[in-house]
Amino acid sequence: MAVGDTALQASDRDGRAPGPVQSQSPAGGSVALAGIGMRYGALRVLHPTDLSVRAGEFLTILGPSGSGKTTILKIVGGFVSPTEGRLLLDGQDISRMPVTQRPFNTVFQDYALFPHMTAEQNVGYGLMIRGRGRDEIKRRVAEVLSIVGLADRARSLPKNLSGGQKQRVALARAIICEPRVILLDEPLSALDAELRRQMQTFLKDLQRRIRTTFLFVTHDQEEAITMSDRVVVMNHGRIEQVGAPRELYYRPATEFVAGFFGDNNIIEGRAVAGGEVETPIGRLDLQGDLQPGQQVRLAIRPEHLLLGGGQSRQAAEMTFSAQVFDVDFVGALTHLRLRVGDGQTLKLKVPTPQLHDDIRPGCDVSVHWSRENMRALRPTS
Amino acid sequence: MSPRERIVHALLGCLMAAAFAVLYAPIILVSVLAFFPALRGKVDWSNPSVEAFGKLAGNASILEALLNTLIVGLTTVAVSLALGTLLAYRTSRRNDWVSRLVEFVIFLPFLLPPIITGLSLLSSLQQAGIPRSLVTVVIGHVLFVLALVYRLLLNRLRSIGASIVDASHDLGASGWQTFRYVLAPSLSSALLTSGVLVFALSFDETLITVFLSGDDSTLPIRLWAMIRVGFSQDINALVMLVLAFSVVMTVAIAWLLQARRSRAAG
Repeated sequence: MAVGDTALQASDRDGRAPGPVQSQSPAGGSVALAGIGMRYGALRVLHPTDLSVRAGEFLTILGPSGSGKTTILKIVGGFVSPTEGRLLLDGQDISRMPVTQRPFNTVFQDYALFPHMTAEQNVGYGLMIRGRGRDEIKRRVAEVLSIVGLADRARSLPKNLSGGQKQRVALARAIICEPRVILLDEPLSALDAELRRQMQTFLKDLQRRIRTTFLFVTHDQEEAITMSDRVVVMNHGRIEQVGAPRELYYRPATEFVAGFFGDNNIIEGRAVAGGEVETPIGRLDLQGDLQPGQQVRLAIRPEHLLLGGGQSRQAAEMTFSAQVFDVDFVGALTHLRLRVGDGQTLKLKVPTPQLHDDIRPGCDVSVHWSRENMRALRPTS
Repeated sequence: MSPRERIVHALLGCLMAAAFAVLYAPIILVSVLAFFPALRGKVDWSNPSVEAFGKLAGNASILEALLNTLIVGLTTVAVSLALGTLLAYRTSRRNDWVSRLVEFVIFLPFLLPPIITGLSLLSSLQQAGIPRSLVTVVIGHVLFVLALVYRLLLNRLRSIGASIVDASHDLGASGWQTFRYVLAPSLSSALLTSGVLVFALSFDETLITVFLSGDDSTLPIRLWAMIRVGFSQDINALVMLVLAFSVVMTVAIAWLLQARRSRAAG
């Protein structure tokens, strides 16, 4: 814990406005996957995929294990060759460029620090390989170590560093060569919850400061939401959805995405003519282009359901009467469960102060929501 | 402790002492005999001397055998370490049919009876028209010890993990630079241990050597030849020297392995 504190203080103390560490450092590169796919014999680990990573953005690839997210990272890093497709850096084809020449650096899941080298030797390794002078290496290593808040541990061996410190040595080692893109392979998964939160903030601040493109892989949806400019959700070797964290959270395109981020109310229904959906709670007008007869699953977030009749009574409002059957106080929020119509259960998350005292299990209420918060989900492939 | 337990303990102690005596007394006896002259099978206990060692030092054929042993041993160490490192690195980086074949085949000479290995090598060399010499002895020894070197290094490489090799490439280092700066320092203790182990094995190896050595004999072969002529004090002196050397090597190996373990634990 103390470890993370020093890191944050170190970056705060510098007090510099977000900007490049060095003016001559190249800005982040843009990477494009064009039909990149991966097969091991008959086993498909990555279906042909298009994805573009914008210059200077923090892009997170999120998915469960076996979803193909690490495969993408390894292909971009050059550790494995894709079985098909092309990889572009700023529009140039780098598919055939060997790992040693790609202007990318990786932070590995197990840190992969060289055990017999001190922190500063680890950090200076890339410059040493590039044949830079002793003085330059020394100056740059000191600079980068102070950025990650480890100036006082320069001469420690990895085995004498804590998990968070090793993590930051690995990060320093990756940024010192000023790569166009930094690849991070679940770098926070080995840290405890408190340290992980501190490192999330630290990584985000660092990325804003050095403006390098970050390609981050994780299976932790909270990590993805809090850190990223955009998130790519993957499942079974395919991209399910790409978008800003809010967009994925509130406008999930598929069942998988909806299920991956927090709670959702799912209402099953069948489309009828006129963009309406027949559901257990009645007909809902979605104004979408749905094929009549098609099975539809509708998703709405618990925090988008509001108690009481809709005030404005606009057409976009959907109002239903319901019965409370469970009230669960969890602090700032109270979770309610309502029964609506023909056996449909809806979950609500209501700020506790806004909840009337007379709402108890068994009482009748009305619930409403705005149509735009309701999504028809695409079935997961 | 009850009296009965005491008796049991005493009996067990005696049994163990007897076992040790039976196992190690001959070795000690031979070493002791090296210091006493023997005439027509009778040991003259009244007159200890180091004369036998002096005679040994003056015996050109023994010195030549010793030199051969050292040449074979050091060459075997160099060749088996180089080959073992290459094979272990290959297996640790890629798990394909080549690696699986290596895994399987490499242990055969170590597990087969040496007499079979020696015999089959001899007939193959003859078919190929290669005359027996120290070179063929080295080939036989390398074949015999390679599995050990390979296993020790592979274990080490696996404990290092593939990701530091990836990390080194990621930071721009070539294969050679990665070996030089990252792998070799991590492998050094494993290389040292294997080197000592290989040297000790090569030093003592007799059965395969019998088949493969031509006119140049190594120390164990020389000893073998001397025994056939008849026991003499020289033999005892030589046995004692070989024994002393083997003990030193054993202690060194035990110490190296111990140091590695405690380092790994720490």
